[in-house]
Amino acid sequence: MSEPTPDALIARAIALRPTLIERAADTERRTYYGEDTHGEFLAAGFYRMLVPRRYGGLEVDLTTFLRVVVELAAADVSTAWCLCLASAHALHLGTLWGERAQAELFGDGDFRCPAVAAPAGLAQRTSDGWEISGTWAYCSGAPYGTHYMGQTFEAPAERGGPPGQILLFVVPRSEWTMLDDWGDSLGLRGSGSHSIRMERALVPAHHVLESQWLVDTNVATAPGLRIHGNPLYAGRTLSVFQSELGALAIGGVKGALDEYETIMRARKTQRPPIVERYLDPDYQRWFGAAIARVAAAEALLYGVSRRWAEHVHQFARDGREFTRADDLALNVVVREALALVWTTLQEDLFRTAGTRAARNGERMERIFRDVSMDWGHIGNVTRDWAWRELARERLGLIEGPALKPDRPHAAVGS
Amino acid sequence: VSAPHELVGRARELRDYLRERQAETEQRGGYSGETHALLLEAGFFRMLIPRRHGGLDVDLPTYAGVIGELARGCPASAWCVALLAAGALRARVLFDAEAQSVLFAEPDFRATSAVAGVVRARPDGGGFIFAGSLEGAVGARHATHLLGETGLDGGDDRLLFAAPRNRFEVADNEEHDVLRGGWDRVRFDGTRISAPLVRRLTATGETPADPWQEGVQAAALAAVFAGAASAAAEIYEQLTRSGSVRGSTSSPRRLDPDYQRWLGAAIGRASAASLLLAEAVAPGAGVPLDAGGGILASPTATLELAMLARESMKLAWSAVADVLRTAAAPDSGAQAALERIGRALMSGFGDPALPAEESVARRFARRRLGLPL
Repeated sequence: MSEPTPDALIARAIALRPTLIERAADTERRTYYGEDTHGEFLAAGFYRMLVPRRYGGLEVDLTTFLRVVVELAAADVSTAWCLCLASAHALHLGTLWGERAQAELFGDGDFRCPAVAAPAGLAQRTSDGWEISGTWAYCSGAPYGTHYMGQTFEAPAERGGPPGQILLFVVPRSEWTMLDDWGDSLGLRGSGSHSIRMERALVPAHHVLESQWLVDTNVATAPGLRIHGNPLYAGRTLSVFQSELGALAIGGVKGALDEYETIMRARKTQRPPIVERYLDPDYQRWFGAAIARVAAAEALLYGVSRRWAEHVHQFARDGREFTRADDLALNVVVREALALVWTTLQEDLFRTAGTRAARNGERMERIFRDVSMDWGHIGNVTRDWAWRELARERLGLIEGPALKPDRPHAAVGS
Repeated sequence: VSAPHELVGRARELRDYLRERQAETEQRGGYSGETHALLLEAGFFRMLIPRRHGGLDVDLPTYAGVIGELARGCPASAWCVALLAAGALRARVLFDAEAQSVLFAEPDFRATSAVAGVVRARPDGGGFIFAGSLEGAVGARHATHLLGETGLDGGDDRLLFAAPRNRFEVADNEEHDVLRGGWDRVRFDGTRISAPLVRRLTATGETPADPWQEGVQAAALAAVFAGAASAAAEIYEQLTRSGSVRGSTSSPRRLDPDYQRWLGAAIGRASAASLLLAEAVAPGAGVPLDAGGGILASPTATLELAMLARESMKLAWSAVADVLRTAAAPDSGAQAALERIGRALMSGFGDPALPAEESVARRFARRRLGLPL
């Protein structure tokens, strides 16, 4: 089968929308999308978008990946969330790990890997690797996951002492079990964000990166560019993670625009003159303002991913380092895009869509719940942190190297 | 012929010069003759003149890039250049080839337009006699022409006209506008203008879309806003480096968590404004380019542009508003510079020639709903 082009991937995502909308309620009840959707995603090649070519992947550019996520989220944010977080982390395996680990973990490219930035559990060093135990919460993408990428600490050197260094590891599904503990949150009930438990999993040393925090990595010395010859695998992560949250929220609000249009055509105004809402100047204004903000947010999102690509290409071509300040400068721009769509969803669309649209099972109601979870995700709570970090970079206040999750600004490559 | 990046580079080189003269430009209500000579020499007024008439015919990103860089020095001067240079674009769309040959005989053709006032025209042989006065003719004192539209005595027809500088008087403007830095008053005293520089529009005929009003103006204004927001963030960064926290003499701002946060937000919003504008005007973003690489408008693409430009302006404004709210600059020069930026952007938001955000939003909705715009 020939490889799908970026445009074909995006078109496929758009074509799947009506089906995904139809299945959204079932997806919520199940807490993740069904086998039918999974089969369609497999056939479409979505899981392989960021898997390196040498393992059978598509190696699409970041903008294409985000566009597919936006188009799927426009149908159902939960579904897109589960797909996005299962398929995004191939980028990091392809960037950060050595050739042998990549060959073993990617295999023939069937790689779906939830990842959580918050460390949990503990790791004991063994003669040839690590023994890792723990439970990691919010592992979106777990239901159809083939692997897990996680963070843990090295066990204290002495009993009762402080934990050792932070570790970043990848393990195959045979090493973990998924807990039945997702689906009772306000939104994203269908995102498959279950916990993952590992009990004394044996992990080879080369599958573990020492002193590495995934969220904020220095990739200047990472092996990905050398292995794959593609700058896609030479990029920093702060703006990438933010862009995933951005794509999911923007897609969600794009879906809200569709639903709002349906409501405008079907319902009438409540005060004279009583007309179809789509003919009313206020509804037109609210709708138009939302269209503008969503268009602006989308332009910002893809503008950032294109600049991310410029950074990695410059690094590959001229060795100009993609700095943490560069990454933060892009990260904070995506946050503006997120603020735009959240604002327009709650101020323009949900507020004026009417009570009927807010009832259980309504599409607008689901979108509002789902996008509110995105807006309240830790990655968005940290907007103030990111602003401050950017300022600190500009003011020359960041000094490294030192690495701990409580001092993520000092993250360095191992 | 200048390459686009050279033009943007020249604008960047003028930034400090313009910044140093920002206060006097504001006081004078427009930039000086000396500044004008430098802007002429840099070729900025040729940006949108067709190549066959000796112009540079740059694309929209280059035009916006130049205006943005100039605005980092002085928003008012940048706005003046933006409007005068865009006169060529309007002339290309609104007037025929014969008129263009006459207009672009002036190698640095730069045309103002007015936003208020009344000029009437009456037929006189083959031409028309113009009388009346206009307000808000940005940079008229430095213009070679004025492009206008007016009613025709004794009927519903309208006239588009391109008045050469020697056909109208420019009056001193005592009540000038801050951003436009050249809110000039223009008077027509029974002067005669004839074909091809007048174009009669019949009441029932089609009115040509003015690319300036249809989106380029919004892009130019957004470039001014984004440049001004960058300048504000730059000043704020200096203040954060050297100042102390309000109400304290010993607590440095650079170590204060609020100032760090405000600085990061200001930089972030200013760069979001620039990035959004750059995306809105990028080739392939829906703004069609003509064969020469210049800008020509189509109503839907320019509506999109107007909308994104407006969102960009709002981002820039939110950056500047927070800077103004929290700067409390101990250095009076820096405070004055920030306040000038604030005044400039406030009058930019209120530009009477710019369609209100609400009406643009409604047009966007109507387009999507398949209703007449």
